[in-house]
Amino acid sequence: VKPDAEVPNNFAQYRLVIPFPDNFLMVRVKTRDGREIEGMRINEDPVSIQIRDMRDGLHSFEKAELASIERLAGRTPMPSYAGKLTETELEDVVAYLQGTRR
Amino acid sequence: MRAALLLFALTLEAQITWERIVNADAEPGNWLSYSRTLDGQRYSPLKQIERGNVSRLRPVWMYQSWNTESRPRFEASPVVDGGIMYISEQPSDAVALDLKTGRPLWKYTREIPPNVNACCGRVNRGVAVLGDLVYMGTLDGYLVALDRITGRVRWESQVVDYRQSYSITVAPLVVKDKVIIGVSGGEYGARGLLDAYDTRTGKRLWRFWTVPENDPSWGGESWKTGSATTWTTGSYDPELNLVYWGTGNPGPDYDGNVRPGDNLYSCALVALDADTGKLKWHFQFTPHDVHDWDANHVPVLADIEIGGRKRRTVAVANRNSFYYVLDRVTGEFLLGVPYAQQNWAKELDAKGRPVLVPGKEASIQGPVVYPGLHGGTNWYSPTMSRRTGMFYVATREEGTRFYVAPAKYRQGALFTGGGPAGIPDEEPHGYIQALETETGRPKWKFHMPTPPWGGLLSTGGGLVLGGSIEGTFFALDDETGKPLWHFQTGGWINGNPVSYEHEGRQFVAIPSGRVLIAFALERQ
Repeated sequence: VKPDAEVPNNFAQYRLVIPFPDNFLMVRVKTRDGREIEGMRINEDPVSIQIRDMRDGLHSFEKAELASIERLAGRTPMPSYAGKLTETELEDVVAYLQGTRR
Repeated sequence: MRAALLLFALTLEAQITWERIVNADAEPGNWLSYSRTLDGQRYSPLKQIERGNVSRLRPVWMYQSWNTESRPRFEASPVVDGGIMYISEQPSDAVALDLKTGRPLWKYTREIPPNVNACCGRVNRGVAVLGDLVYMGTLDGYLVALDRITGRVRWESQVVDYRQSYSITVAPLVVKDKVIIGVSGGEYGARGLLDAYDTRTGKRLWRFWTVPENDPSWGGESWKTGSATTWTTGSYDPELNLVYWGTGNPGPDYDGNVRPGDNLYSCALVALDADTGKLKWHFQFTPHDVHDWDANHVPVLADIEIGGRKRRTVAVANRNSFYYVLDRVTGEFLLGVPYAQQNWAKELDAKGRPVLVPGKEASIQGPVVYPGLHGGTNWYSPTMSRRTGMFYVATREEGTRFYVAPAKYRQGALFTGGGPAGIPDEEPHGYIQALETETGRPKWKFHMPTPPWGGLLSTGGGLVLGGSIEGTFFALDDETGKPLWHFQTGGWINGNPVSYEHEGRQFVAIPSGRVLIAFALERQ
């Protein structure tokens, strides 16, 4: 946190809701030959879908190639931080992130 | 070369007459008016391109419009005849294209004043053609008649004063010796109307006010700013001599407190005598609308069996998420069923009036309502196939929170009385649906990951063609909805497809982004 920045009393308000970016969606697709790919949807149209997987691999599928498309609404690729940080450490992280906003 | 030039000149000589327009089925290779036929079915009997070979469909030419709008919405539906395609462009330009190459033969450009109000895009949805004239409405409120060969202005008539919050975006419709045109401005309190002009002189022959003066269905003087504008092209029945035209939302959009009553003839279908403009009947889909559910749809005329009896009907998939079938002679309500998610009406009563679910009107609490602001469908065209008898429509699944706020009319300012908000964490989507015409039941649905803004075309080749916001132009099997072919156009598809024949080949054409693309089967 910048020393001269105005620091709110606490950052609970920022911890309550972390909104997803517009149009963000995790998906899991299964191909007709049995492969399964999970990742972030980059694009989707009525006949195709493009995905970036957890290793930054890019995949493009015609929907006709796929056995299923599962929409993982609310899912994020970020691992849970539950139990990793103390309350004070968590406040510090959120305060730092808030301080980086322009 | 000389012979080719002569042929071209002869082709140019052919004119679209009223007899040809009203008998358009006799020449399936042309597209003579907005929906090809006056019944609004947007069906092409052509079948050279069919389910078995549509995979060989390829672009033949592309026309890059001169549109400089920062967010292009190419909504024009072309008219095609005699080797020429006539289209309009944003904001109020017209162009004639050589069908063989897509090269422009002439271009009409209109200077639009910067202070024209167009709430929902500086768009134009197409032209009409009769004889040696091409007709187009303009954003600044005029109907212009252009020379079919040169594009020069032959006459222009002021329909409305844009300084009174009007604009024109609709494609005109020629009916006999009249050109019929509506207006936009429903978010600015512009009082709606539908006009007919003499095709030769531009003299106004009749005017129908969609908000009648001092009508008791409007409280006080609210009729003066009642909107109910007429911004989507209608249909015509030559035997009944009736023009069918949809009307838009009442003004202000969301604050119904200032306009108590049903607010006739907003959110309605009106049937007018084509010679006089007199009202024959009306049917109001959404009385006292507070969700901006315009009834600006192409009415689809068809003779179908309802309750064991053949009826002359008009079918409408309305923005309020109900599919309606009415008797087009009398306006009698015959059928009304939901085709998309809705939570605002418990049911429709025996006369087709919605029985409301309490608490769904726009308010300071902002109730979540389905369909949302943009409706279960919107202005873009449905299609009815004479091959399958099905009604195909591009539908939208998205909710909206509707908020109300005090509305004070001020000329030139938005007059909405509130506003909409989306639903967080809800991903809107849509479908292409095949509805049984006589029941409204879906036979199949094709999923659209984004709610569509493009219309549909059905063909004698067993195809339903449509487009997506992501730019995918696609062909579906009209019986199963199975996707058979697609092409990524690279731009938003906001228009309606058409099909025509040129030099022995069937084409389909679609506007996308700033481009109009013509497709045909690749030569073998």
